[in-house]
Amino acid sequence: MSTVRMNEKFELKQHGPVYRFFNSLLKCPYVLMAPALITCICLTIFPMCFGFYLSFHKWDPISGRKKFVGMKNFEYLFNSEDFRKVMVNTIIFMLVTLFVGLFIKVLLGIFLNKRTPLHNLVQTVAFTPHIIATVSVSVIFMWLMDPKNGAFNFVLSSLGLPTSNWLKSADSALASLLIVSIWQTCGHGALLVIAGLRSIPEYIYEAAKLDKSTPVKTFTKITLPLLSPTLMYLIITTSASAFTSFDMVKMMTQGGPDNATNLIAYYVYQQGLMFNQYGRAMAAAFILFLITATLSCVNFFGLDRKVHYQ
Amino acid sequence: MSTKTFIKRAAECVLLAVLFLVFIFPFYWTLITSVKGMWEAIEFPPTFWPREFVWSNYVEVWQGSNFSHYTKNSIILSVGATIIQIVSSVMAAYAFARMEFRLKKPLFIVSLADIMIPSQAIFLPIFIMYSKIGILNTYLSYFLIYIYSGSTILFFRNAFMQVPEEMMEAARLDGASELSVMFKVMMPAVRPFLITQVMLAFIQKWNGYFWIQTLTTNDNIRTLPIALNSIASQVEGFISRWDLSMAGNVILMSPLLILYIFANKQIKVAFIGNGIK
Repeated sequence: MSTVRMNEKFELKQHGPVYRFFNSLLKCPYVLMAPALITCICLTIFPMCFGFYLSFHKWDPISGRKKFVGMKNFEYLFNSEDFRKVMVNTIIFMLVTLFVGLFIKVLLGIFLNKRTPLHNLVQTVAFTPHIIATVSVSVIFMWLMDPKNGAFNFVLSSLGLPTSNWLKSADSALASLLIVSIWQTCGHGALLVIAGLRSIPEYIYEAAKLDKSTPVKTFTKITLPLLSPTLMYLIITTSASAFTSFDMVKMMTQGGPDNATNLIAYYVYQQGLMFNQYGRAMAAAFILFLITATLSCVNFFGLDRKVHYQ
Repeated sequence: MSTKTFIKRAAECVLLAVLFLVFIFPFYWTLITSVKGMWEAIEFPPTFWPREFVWSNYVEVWQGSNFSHYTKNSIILSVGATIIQIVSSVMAAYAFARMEFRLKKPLFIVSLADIMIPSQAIFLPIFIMYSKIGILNTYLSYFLIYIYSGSTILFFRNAFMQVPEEMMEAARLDGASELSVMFKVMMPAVRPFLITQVMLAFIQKWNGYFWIQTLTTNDNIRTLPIALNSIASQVEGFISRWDLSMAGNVILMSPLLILYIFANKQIKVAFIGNGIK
């Protein structure tokens, strides 16, 4: 024991005071945690509480006057035509990305789940939109969907199909946004599905083959249930992303035309930083928080935590 | 039988080709638009190969739209924020994984707060706080946001917990100091996790738009995504300069695309987990 201590002292003596200082820091857990925890409290938990407090106030940021108004901000939101439209848009966005998006992701995953170079190449290319900025994706599609000179309308018109105004008309703007969102996320979803498929042990399929199971039955009785953790994860993250989508809306439409693409995250931004309605913005933000917090609770505590996802 | 398999193979190849086109075409279009001339870019019907290559678009974006300033900011903010996030998360995760102390459980739960609280719900209070303290539009304001990241702490904690206790004990018995245990035993043991997290953090910061958009009021620390937003929404005498927007977009995308070409396996693992290998 004493030799050990002597060794340690010997090694420490070789180094200067700076080394010894950092070395002693590594023995205090509270010091190690301090940077992360202090910012967690100051820049995550406290703002949430402060925002909740603000949602009961009317605050004019220019004069700096703050007045308690009770539930007025929430009442305003529930009675406002705009907010109702925003919620409807957000829910439509969520449902379409959920049903259509998930369907495409699963199909794509099943189709691309082979280890040939060609399949691998398409997997890699399909995943690319996920690693570049949503801003980049938005700019590319703003150009492709340009009503006058865009490539999409060129392709449509040369095929003899009717062209569309895409993002510029209230009827098609939300659908256009959905196309971009699904295009951007489906490669990532497909790769998650592939990872899920590859984690299903081969012998289960062999057993099914021995039992003369039909392909449809194998799919519904084996593949789908064993894929369910992946599917659950996809369902929850996709639904949460409808409530947090901001970049794409800000870039492509600014919520317009006529609020047709205004989603709740952008509404909070609009009310807060553009119209200076801090109270209303925070009331909407609190609703956003309630929904996403519920979803991430289900995700975090309800799912199989042995499987690691990013 | 053989014709049937042939048709099946052919259909598969056609479908693969279509998918390839669906995902590659927008990138191809970006690239060729970025080197078209101002008028050729907005020609209808469009040309599928530029008649002449106008490389000066890049010069115009770099100098005229001040992309050099935004690129500098992008590099400073993403490298800085990545280092800050990884260092502080590794420190906290090490404490949670390898030390015993009284408040471990409650503090760990507190440290997962951002899994519940989305940034879209707290940016406004943070904006108000920052403008009260007077640190809006500073690098510091951006770095502060990233000191804490709950998911990174959780990730490193799980990684540290997988390192066998005996390795640390053996090193300590050999008289290694705590710093040597950390840097010569722990960090090498979690190296693959560290690489994926660094890449993930960097990609997120480089692409980051939301915090910069909400926490800045001038161009001081604004980054490439914001700059791209402003040229894309600019209209010069009824003409949108799509050639310039696309050149800017290539500047924004290229570092990540190059990284993706050389490290696509690691990047996929970083986003998906090990199941994809």
